[in-house]
Amino acid sequence: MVIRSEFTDLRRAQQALLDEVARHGYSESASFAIRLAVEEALNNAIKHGNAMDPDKRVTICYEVDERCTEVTVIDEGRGFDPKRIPDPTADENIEKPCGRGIMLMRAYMDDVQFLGGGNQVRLVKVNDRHGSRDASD
Amino acid sequence: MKPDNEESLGLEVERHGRAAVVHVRGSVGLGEAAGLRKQLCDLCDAQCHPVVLDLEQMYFIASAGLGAMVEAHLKLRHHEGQLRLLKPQPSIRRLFETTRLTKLFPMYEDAGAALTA
Repeated sequence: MVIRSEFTDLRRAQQALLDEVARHGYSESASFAIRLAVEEALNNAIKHGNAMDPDKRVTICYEVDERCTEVTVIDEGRGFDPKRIPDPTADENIEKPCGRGIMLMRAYMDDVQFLGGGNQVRLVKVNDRHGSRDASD
Repeated sequence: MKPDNEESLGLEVERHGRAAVVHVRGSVGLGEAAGLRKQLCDLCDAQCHPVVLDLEQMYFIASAGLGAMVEAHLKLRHHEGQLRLLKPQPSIRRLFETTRLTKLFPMYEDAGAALTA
């Protein structure tokens, strides 16, 4: 799915994915985690990657089955080094209004990888109702 | 019970003298964070203290919504005000714990305690 760098398109894409997640019987907590992580990934892609440029697009690829959900979000920006993002839970950053998106993705998903120089993020969530599975399979 | 439309954001303000309770219903994602920010900003400008966010019927919040709350915390502090959280759902409580924002926002299960603490 390819969307414009606008929040209305974000909601439409997110809902299509969440409908699939619900159809496959994921738990409420897993659905919450996927919704949160995808929202953060799309927010980063639109705001930071594409800098809200209406001519730039965000590509969302996802695969949902009974065992796990895998989502890849790709923007048209120059990428970034995720290691250089400050820890938002550190005392000195706790009062900063921004900078929690990547930490939330990592906290709520089973696997998070930044690829392509940082302009792609791959998110994996195991369906805890289906039993354990190695996310790297 | 969850509201019929969990996606939309509902904000209802109840004043108790200088204090304010904001009943939040639905979701605070990217599309809704600006609405929460404006409401909190208005209460900050009115120098309310404390501002209690009733989260019993809020089922989702993303970093944009958390950011709006941190901004309100910083503004309220100028006049020794405080933002307090009332009855967050377990998933929302976990999110505040994960981000360590519990350090900024005290949580209460009782409205009276939230208003008078």
